[in-house]
Amino acid sequence: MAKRILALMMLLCLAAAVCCADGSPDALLEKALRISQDSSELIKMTEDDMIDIIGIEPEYFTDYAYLTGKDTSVGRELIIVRATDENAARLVVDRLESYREQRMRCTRNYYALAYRALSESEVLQDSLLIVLSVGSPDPREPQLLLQEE
Amino acid sequence: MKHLKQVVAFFLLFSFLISLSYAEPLDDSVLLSYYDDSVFFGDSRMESFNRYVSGLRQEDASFMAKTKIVPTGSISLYAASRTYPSGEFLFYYHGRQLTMYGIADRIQPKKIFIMLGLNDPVAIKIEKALTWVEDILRKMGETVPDAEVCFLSETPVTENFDSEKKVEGYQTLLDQYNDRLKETCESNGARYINIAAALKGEDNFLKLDYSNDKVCHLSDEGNAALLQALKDYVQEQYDLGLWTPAAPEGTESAPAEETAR
Repeated sequence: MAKRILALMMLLCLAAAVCCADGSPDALLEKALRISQDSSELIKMTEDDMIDIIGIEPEYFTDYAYLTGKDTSVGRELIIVRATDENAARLVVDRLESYREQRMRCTRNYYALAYRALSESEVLQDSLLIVLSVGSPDPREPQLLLQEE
Repeated sequence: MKHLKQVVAFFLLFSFLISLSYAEPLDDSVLLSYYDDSVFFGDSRMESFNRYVSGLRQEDASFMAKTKIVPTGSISLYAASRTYPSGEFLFYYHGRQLTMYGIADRIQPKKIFIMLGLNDPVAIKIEKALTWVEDILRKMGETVPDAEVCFLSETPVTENFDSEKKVEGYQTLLDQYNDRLKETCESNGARYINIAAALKGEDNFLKLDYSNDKVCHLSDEGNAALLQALKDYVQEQYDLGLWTPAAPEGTESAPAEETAR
């Protein structure tokens, strides 16, 4: 009886550990909200926005966070994606870089703050984790987001 | 007897008008269902509106969830009217540079709403701008023949616009453009929604509180007024018997109808 209870407890602990792991749904969103200093000012964009605005379909990632600032003229954005595999990671990097270039084209002679923020940004990758951080108040944000926990 | 008939006729007319003014106000979710399966195309103002709508979705994920908003900052009415993606400013959708027509073909919306003209700027080239409007109406009709196309009026500008953009009397010219835009839409079988009126102050300019740059772009308050104007348009259509909302799913009532304008 005691052995059964012990086994059940171990099973419950294992389940809790799995649920709390970085691979759980919304883990990247929680991470992004925790790391970004201006998280209270950011808007959570949807999976549809990932497809429509950036062009990354859900089949290419297991988790994501897409946050934008309220003022489009400032250009604040934070996109973090965990790709499903290496091929998907290549596509995600490609789409984020293409999206960044598109945003630079549109802001170059229009929104100086946004253009500067985009010019200073870059798409960063660590294995299957890809990050595009634009206009963050904390210059360490991209590297912090890439660190696995 | 003749006077009695006149009095009765007047009383009946008055009663009818009174009944119209007390027509049933529809719930916001019902009003916004008018924009389900629609796509909005626009420039930086539509980018700002899209961001505002996304903000509202933080509280209610279903808010205008069936409405696509596809903006590109800096795009002009002229660039948007072209049938080929070239030049610097293009619509960007699903990771690709596409024309408005290409996007509409992919989405196959029931309704298309367009607000473009700030970057041309249309009010100093009204005749040319209207030819681009006609081009868009014709090409959209070829691409998505079953979709209803609607132009939103150009939004007003503040008094600062003239000095910022080095034009004179722009708002007056813009009013003229909007009048001609309305005529062009109606003569080509398209719709027109006047959102400008909801954004103006008594001085005929964009209310400063409605602008985040105090020139021409909208603040959250301005976007809220724009959203209200879109809802008011639907309420008006309903009051005039030109639109009925779809029955909720699971009921047996008839689907939404849109009768002749």
